[in-house]
Order: sequence, then structure tokens, then C-alpha cells
Amino acid sequence: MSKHNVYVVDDDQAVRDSLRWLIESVDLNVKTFSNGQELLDNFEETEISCLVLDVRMPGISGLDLQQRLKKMGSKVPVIIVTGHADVPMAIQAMKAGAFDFIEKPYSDQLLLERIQCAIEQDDCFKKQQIINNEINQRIDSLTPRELEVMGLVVSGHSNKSIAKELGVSIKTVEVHRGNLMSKMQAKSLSELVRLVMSSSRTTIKE
Amino acid sequence: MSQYFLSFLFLTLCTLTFQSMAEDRNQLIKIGVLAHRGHDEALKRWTLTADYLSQSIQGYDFIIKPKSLKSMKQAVEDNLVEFILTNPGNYVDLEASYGATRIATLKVKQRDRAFTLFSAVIFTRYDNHDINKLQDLRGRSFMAVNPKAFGGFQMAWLELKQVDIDPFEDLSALEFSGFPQDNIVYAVASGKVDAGTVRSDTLERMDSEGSISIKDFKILNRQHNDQFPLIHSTRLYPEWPFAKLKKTDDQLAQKIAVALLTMLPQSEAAIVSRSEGWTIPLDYTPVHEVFKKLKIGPYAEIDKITFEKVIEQYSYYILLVLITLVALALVIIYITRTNHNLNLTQTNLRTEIESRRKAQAELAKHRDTLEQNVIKRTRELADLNKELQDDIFARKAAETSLKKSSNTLQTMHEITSSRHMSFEGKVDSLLRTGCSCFGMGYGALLQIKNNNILILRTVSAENIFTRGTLFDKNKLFSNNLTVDSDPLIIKNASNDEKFKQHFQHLELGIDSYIGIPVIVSGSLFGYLEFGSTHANNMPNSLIEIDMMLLISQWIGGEIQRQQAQENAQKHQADLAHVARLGTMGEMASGLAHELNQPLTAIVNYTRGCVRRLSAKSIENLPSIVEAMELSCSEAERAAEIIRRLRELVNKEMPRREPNDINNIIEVVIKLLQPKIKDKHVSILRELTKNPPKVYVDRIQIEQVLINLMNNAIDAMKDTPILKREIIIQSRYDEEIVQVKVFDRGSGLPNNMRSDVFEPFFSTKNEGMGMGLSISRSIMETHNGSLNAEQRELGGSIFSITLPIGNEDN
Repeated sequence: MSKHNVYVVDDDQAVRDSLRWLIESVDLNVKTFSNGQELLDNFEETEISCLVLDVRMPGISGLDLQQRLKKMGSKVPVIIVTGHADVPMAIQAMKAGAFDFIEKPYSDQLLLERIQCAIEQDDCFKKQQIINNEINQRIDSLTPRELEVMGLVVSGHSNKSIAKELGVSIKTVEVHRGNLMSKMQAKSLSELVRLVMSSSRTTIKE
Repeated sequence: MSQYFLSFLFLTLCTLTFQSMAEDRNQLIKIGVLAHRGHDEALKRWTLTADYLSQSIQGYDFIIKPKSLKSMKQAVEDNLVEFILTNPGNYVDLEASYGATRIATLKVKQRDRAFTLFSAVIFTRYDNHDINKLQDLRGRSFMAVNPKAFGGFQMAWLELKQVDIDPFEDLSALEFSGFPQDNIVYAVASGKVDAGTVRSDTLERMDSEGSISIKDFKILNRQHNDQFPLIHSTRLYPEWPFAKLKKTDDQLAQKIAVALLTMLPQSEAAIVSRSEGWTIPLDYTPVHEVFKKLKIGPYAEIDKITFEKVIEQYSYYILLVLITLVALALVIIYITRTNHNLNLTQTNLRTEIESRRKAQAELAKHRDTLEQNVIKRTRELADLNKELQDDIFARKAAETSLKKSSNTLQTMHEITSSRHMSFEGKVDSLLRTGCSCFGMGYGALLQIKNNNILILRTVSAENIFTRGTLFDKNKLFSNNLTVDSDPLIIKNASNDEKFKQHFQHLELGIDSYIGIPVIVSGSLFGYLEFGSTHANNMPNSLIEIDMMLLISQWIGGEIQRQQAQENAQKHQADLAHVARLGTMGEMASGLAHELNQPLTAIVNYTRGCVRRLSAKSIENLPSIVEAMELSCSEAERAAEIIRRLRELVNKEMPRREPNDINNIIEVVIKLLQPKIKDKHVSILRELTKNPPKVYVDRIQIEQVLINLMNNAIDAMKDTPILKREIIIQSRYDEEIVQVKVFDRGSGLPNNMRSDVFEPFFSTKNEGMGMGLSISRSIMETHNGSLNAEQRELGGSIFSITLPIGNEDN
């Protein structure tokens, strides 16, 4: 398994290089950028990673960069570091969904721990995303009728009431149910419910 | 004279010619007419009357000769006219002076009536409530026609005189308008003058012409007379007379009188002359009375005549008699004298012969004594001569001394006004000059330090003092001097009881001494001392004492000026320091961030090393060393930031050194980097290459530039980020180095451009408003300047200039 990435954006080269030195000591891959635009040009969304951004930078500031990533749909965890923290800035960063907000100079322990956490979160998130994608693919393979039946099954209807609801025979419902269980790779009703619940496809959840 | 003679000759010739012509034809009779309204007007009015007379009287041709008052008199005096036609005033003058006689009086036609009398009106504006009677005219302005006009002024003058007003003294203004009299009426109506006088009928005439309304005027001293219904303020006087001169033929005069009296009112001559013909001559004594009372015209000298006049008239006879009498008296005295003298001479001659004989004997006797006297006198003269020579020698000495003083003064002036010498150099030179001038071996400037005296400067041919030595004050004789002591001069120690006993003589071996107090700001600063190990035999003139005082005063003054300058500089430095502290406060957060950067880097590096070392991954050793190096250089960077900060808040006396202006600019940009970054301002440098050094206090100039840059950044807070640009420019010419800071901010409204340098002026919510005021004072102490101007297309430009050069600037 390859090393996880830490993207560092700071306009001060000494800070950049020293961060690389520090972070590499815990076996992480460090990519440094002197400004926000450089990061946006080189950012790999798919890899498990986290961002360490300085607030005060020429051009795009740390907070602006965070906003832009969010608008692009990225969920990558962002750690904001600042030389002069103030409350409004911290609130703004957290509201925008920053993973953490750290004041310079920080203890290495704290920073590295937060980086680890962020990467775990991203790892988790990315894994979840993979599962979600899998489930979504299974759901996508269902016929409209099967999808309809699954919705009713998950909401606790019996075969009989489903048949009555849809105006078909119980036999037909049983066939659909059998097919969808195998397509969804669910061994039990409870597993099916869990898969549907964790799916991001909201249309079938009610 | 010759002119008069020639004209007389010419006139005589003319007369002769006319007379000879008259023999064949008619005799020409000239009537002098007063042309008070001009030559043409007079001809127009009276030519028909002359023609009428020519027609009426056989054998004569009458012509009109218009005359001014002056030429009329001349014409009468020279008999150039036979008759005159003039105003009553002029007439009585000529009557009294040349025996003119009136033969008829004009019947003047006014308001369709004939008047042989006339008068004058004195009037003011109807609404002038301050003037109601003649007495009220005192202190008012008044207008009349002409000082010599009878109806136009003199009549009114008499009335005023009767109420004790002298128009030339007691009026606030007396103006003469000349003809026409209408001007006076207008002047009163417009309020230009308070009151005026005109001939009777003027107001009525103007009223009927419609140019005024009589109701608008108030008549002063109004008179009423049934025979004279016109408005008038003075008594009545006869109208113009026709008069003959003394030499004019009486028969002709009679013929003319008849002709005039028979002139019909409706005749053309009468109409054109604005009359109804003529009447019997009236009594002109009232006019004489006027002149007598006013002491004018023929009566001008009435009080003064008598004796002088008599003398003048009979001077020839009196002189002749006197001369005869004197001549007679002289002859008699001469004869008596001669007789008497002859007698006396006879007696004298006898006595003389006697005395001569005696004198001869006496002379022989005196010859011997005289010889002795001559010898004595010669000796006296020789003595005197020697004295004179001594005197000349003394004078020469004095002259030499004066010349020396003058030279010394010249040298002193050159020293004190030198641009190249330091104060100490000047003092030393002055001391040296003093030594040679006063004939002394050493000179010193002493400063009082509590109970000691410091040898501040000294120059010496005889090593008495060393610079920087501290003496107990009692050991130096100068200690005896006080603030108001005169220069103390001791030529020879053995002649001075006090000095003889003193340390300076006993121990230092000083025999002659000069001491002068040096005063700074009114109190005793120290002394100026000259001295020598030899007795001084140079004469000390008053000029030299003055010179000593001059040197001491110059030194005192210079020290005082230096102290004042130091105080001012210290004050300015204090102020600048306070302002820097303020700037520091404003910059603190930015600088904290600035400091955080290297600190963060250091922590990162060292922690990274620690982690690696703990993990015992020895293969990383070279990179660990490298990281430690980097960490160290970051620590140095932090130290550098702190040093810059320290410098900025340091409170030191300004220290001027040669500096490169571009370096100062770079330091300032570094110091402001956090703020520049924070506010997203871009800095564009337009720096000249290798500018000449400026001799400045680096910290203070940095402070000024920080201020300007700070202001430039603050000014752009409402400017779109992409336009936030500061241009910092340096350039130079032969004399100055200039730095300009351009911003794209809100700029400087015209009316605020000079205000920005005022203390406590600020457009910012925070800040004291002292920045630019202090900056400007900093620039001024550097002999530079700080100016602001509006930038085209928005924003402002602040520029500083500094003189190129060395310490002297």
C-alpha cells in the first residue's frame, strides 16, 4: 500500500520545507505548494490525503482555498494553520468545514496527530465511498419493478400487502423479491435494510 | 518789457491807422464787453446793440470787444476801448480804479418783465433739515460760480459775512463750478454739495424749462420786495451798466446814452441782448459797499495804504531833499574836521621829534637784552621739537597697534565665519590668535564642573595646561571671575599682591595673566584664559580688551547655540521615538506573525530530527545534519527580525551616517511585509542604481518611509485588490536624493493637502495623526523635505528629498 499524501500550502519556503521534514518523519508523503493555485492544479482527489493550509498567503488565502475546494465537491479534510489566530477567523474556518484550526507555532505532536486523524477520516470516507459506489451499482442493476418492491420490503411491508399494493399476485412478488435479494447480494432482510440505509440514493429510502 | 513795448507800439500804430481811416469814413468806437459766458456768446448778445448804436449815431462805427475780467482791466488801463459794458462788480472796480462812469443801466428781461435790479439766491435741498438759515451753513459744503462772479458769489459772500461766516474758512468745502450756473442747481439737487448760490431768476428759469422743480429747494434768508418778485436771498443790486472811460469824449457818451435810453423793448437789439432796452443809470454805491465790506476789488488794500502810499507817491522829492541835506551836513563836518586836524598835527609833530630822540637811546639799550632772549628762545624751541618727535613716535605706535587690532579682527572674522572648521577648531584658532594679539604664551578655554575646572581646550607654546585636565577650582586664578567681571589683566605677577600669592604663579610659574568670563545663557560657563611665564610688557589698549570680550562672547554664544540645537534635536528624537512606539504597536500583530514563521520552521526541523533520532534510523544522519543547519539559519532569521524591531524602538540620540537609500527602502518593505501580504498589496520597486550616499539617521528615515508606506496601504483599503499597488521609486540628481511613494488610494482632496502635515490630522479611525507631522519634522532636521501631491487618475504621491553630502549638511 502506498503512502498517504499530505498537501502543504505555505508561502514561506522555510515553513514549507520544515513541515516536509517533520511530516516525512512519520512516513507520510508530503507535497508542498507555495500558493493555492498551484495546489488546485496538482490536487489528486482520489488519493487518501489531507491539506495543511496557511491562512495568510498572497493570492488565494487559506480560507478562500478551503471554500473553493468545497465548491468543487471535495471532501478532503483541511487543517488550517495560522500565525495569528483570532476567533472570527476560526469560526469562519470551522463553519466552512475545516477539519481543524491550529495556531503557529504548534507542537509537532499536535500537528502530526491531527494530520493522522485527518488522513484516517479521509481513508474512512474514501472506503465508505467505495462501498457506497458498490451498493449504488447493485441498486442500479435492479429493474424498476424490483426497485419498487425493494422500497416496500425495506419499509416493512409483507409480500401479501405488496402484492395487493402493486395489484399483482403474491407469487410474482416472491419472484421479484428473490431476484432483488440476489442482485443486492443480501443474505437476509436485515442486511438488505442496512445496504439501503447506507446508500446515498435517497429515492428508495422512504 | 520789450514785448509790452512792442505791443504798445503796434496798438498805437493801429489807433493811428483807424484814426486816419476815420477821417475818410466813420470813427471806430470799441465797446469792451464782459464775456463771462465766453467770447462768442458775448458777440452774439451785443453785436446788434453795437449796430443799433452805429445806426443811431452818425459818424461812428461801434464794435464789440469781448473781454475777460482780467483783459477788461488791461484794456481800460491802456485805453484800448472807449466804452465798457460789464457787470456791476467789475464796473465799480473800474470806476474806483480808472474813473469809469456809467451812462445807462440795462433793463434785463426776466419772466416777461424788465428788471433793473438783481440779486442772488442761496438755497439748499428742501429735505435738508439741518440747514434752515444762513448760520446753519457753517461747516457745510457750498458751491458758487466763480470767486470773482458778482451775482454768482460775491453777493452771497456778503450775506454770509453778515452772519459771521467766512466762506473761505468756515465752510467744509467751497467749490466753484464756473458757468453755466445750472451746474450748481444740479449739484445741490443731487446732494453733492449742501448748498449753493446762483443769480436770481436761475431757479425760476430752470423750473420753467422743466429741468428742476423749485419745490425741491429751500431758499435761505429769503427776502421780499414788491418791486422785485423773483426769489432772492440777498439785497438788490443794479443790473449791468454801460459806462464810458475817463478819456472818452463826453458828447459822444451823451449821444450814446440817449440812443440807449430810446432803444425800444421790442427792437431786435433789445431782444437779442435779453433786455427791454436801457434805463437811466442807477446808483452803484450798494456794489461799492459790498466791495468795501468784503475788502476786495478796489478796496482790497483799503486798510493798508496811508503812509506807504504817500512815501511811494512822493519818494522822488523826499529822496532829493534828504540827499541835499546829507551833502550839506557832510561838507560842514569835513571843513571843521580839517581845521581841527591841522592844529593837532602841528602839536603831534613836535612831541614826536622829542620822543624819537628818547627812543633811539632806548633802542641801543634793548639791543643787548634781545640777543640774550633769542638764545633762550632757541633753546626752548629745540626742547619743543624733541617733545613733538616723541609725540609722533607715540602716535606711530598707536597706529601700529590699531593696525594690529584690525588684522586680528580680520583673522577672528575669518575663523568664526569659516565653513570648514569645527567648533573646537575655531576655538583653538581663536585662542592662538588671542595669544599672538595679547603677546601671551598660552590660551585656554576653561569649563566649570562643580568644584573643579576642566581644561576644555588649550593652545600653548609653553606647556602649562593639558586638554582634559581637571583642576581644583581654587588652584586656578580665573575662579575669582564672576558673571559680570571685566577682563582681568595682570601684566606682571610681582606687581599684583593677590596673584603673587596664588598657586598659578607659585606652582605653575605664570607671570602674566588675562582672564575673561564666558557666559552661556546668562550664567557662568567657564573662563577664557591667556597667560605666559614671562611678564607681559605689551600695552593693552581698549580695543584689545574689546577683542577679549568679543572672543569670549562668540564662544559663549556658540556654546549656547550648540546646547539649544542639542536640546532641539533631543526633543525631536524623543517625539520621533514616541511615534515609533506607536507605529510599533500598530505593526505588532504583523510582526508577531513574521516572527512565528522562523519559529515554526525551527520547531518543525528540530522535532523532525528528534523523531528520526528516536526511531534510530541512523541512515538518515546526513539529512539530520542538514535539517539542523536549516533550523539554525531559521533561528538567525528570527534573531534578525527581533534586531530590526529593537532598532525601531531603540531610544538613541540620532546618529547620522552615510546610508544607501535603496537599502533603507528594502528594510522598510521587509518590516511591512506582513501588512503588505495581509492587505494583498503589491509593491513595485523603481529603484535607481547606485544612488549617492545620504548622511542620515537610518532609523528616523526608516520611520518616515514606514509611515508613508503604512499610509499608502491604509489608503487603499477600499481599492479593489487587483489594483492595490504601491510604486516606490528612488532617483537622484546633483543635489538631492528623492524617494516617491505612489498609491492607488482615495487620494488627497485639494483642501487637505497641507492639512495632512498638521499634528493630530487623521483620516483614519485609529492613529493619533502624528505620523506625517513627525515625519515632516524628521525630514526638516535632515535638511530635506516631505511633500504630498494628488496622483493623476487617483491616489496620492508622497515624496521625500534628502541632500546629498557629508556631515556638514
